[in-house]
Amino acid sequence: MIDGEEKLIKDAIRGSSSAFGALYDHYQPMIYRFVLVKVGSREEAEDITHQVFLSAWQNVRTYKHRGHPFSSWLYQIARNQVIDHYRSKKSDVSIDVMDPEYFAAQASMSADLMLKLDVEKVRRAVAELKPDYQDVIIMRFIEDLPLKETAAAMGKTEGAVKLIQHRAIKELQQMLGTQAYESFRNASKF
Amino acid sequence: MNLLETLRNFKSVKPDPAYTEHSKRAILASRQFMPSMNPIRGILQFIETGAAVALTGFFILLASGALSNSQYIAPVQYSVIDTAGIHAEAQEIDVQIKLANVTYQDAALNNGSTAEAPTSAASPKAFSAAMTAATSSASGKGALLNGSGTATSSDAASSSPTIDGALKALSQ
Repeated sequence: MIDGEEKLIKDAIRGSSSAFGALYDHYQPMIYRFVLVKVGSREEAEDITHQVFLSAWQNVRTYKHRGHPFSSWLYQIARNQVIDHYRSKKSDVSIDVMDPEYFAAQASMSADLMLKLDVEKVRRAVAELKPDYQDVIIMRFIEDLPLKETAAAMGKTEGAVKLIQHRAIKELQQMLGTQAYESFRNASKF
Repeated sequence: MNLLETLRNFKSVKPDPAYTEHSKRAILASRQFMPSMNPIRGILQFIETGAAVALTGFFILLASGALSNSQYIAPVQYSVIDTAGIHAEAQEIDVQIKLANVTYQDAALNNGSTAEAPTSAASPKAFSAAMTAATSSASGKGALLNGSGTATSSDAASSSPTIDGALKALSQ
């Protein structure tokens, strides 16, 4: 959440492009990552992210602050855009079609070859999860969003999100092996 | 593999700066959707809202009984109700009930023996003994009675014991 976010939103609602520009600068990378992990293709992620913010800008007057950060609203738009994207394509994006080096290349700045391989392995596993499981994994473990915010973005209760998170981790555990699961269990998030 | 650490590495993924700049410029150059300001639509919306509020208020007043004194709205007028007539009618119904009770009691008195018989039969042994005593005292000869206290057909003609007689005998 940005400092003075409420004022920026109010200004954006009044039509201030600079206020919305500030919101765009802050939230665009996380929405882009969210979409990218889900669709796997950089070009498609860029198109969808553009559509998300275009839709947000055009409909910002309908935004009503309900105690949740602006990002929850953006995530909701992003989720709908991804659903529409898959509906229009009528088929899932094959993992083979995805850009396999993209994530690894992004991680290369601070990691060795093993980490690159791990990143690619995890990315493939997350891409095979159900959409709700993907959302929870991305929001909770990549973006570090609190449970409340994740629940607001997904339109679910906190209890439901906890349940989805548990199932998503279990499924990831089955895909990647128990060693990965142990790292989750040791994490303070549980 | 530390899955949590690996997932956190995804956070280093950033969109291409050139794409970001181009996208932002394109978005901010587009126009926001403005709410339509059609005056006719506004008037219609005002009428709709006003009618809804008025109807709601009317039904609340109706449900709370606040309109019961109104001459035009209340379904039943107090002035139409003839309270004296209703009172008289009620009195009449009461009298009829009393008359019906009197008739019933009169009939019960006339058929006192038959009406009381079933209650006496509640204790057959006592009744039988009383009947026997009454019969013997009245006619001087023993009357044959069966165990249930009912007189046989042969004795019915010669002696006709009554409950009153039996009670009298018992009191003696």
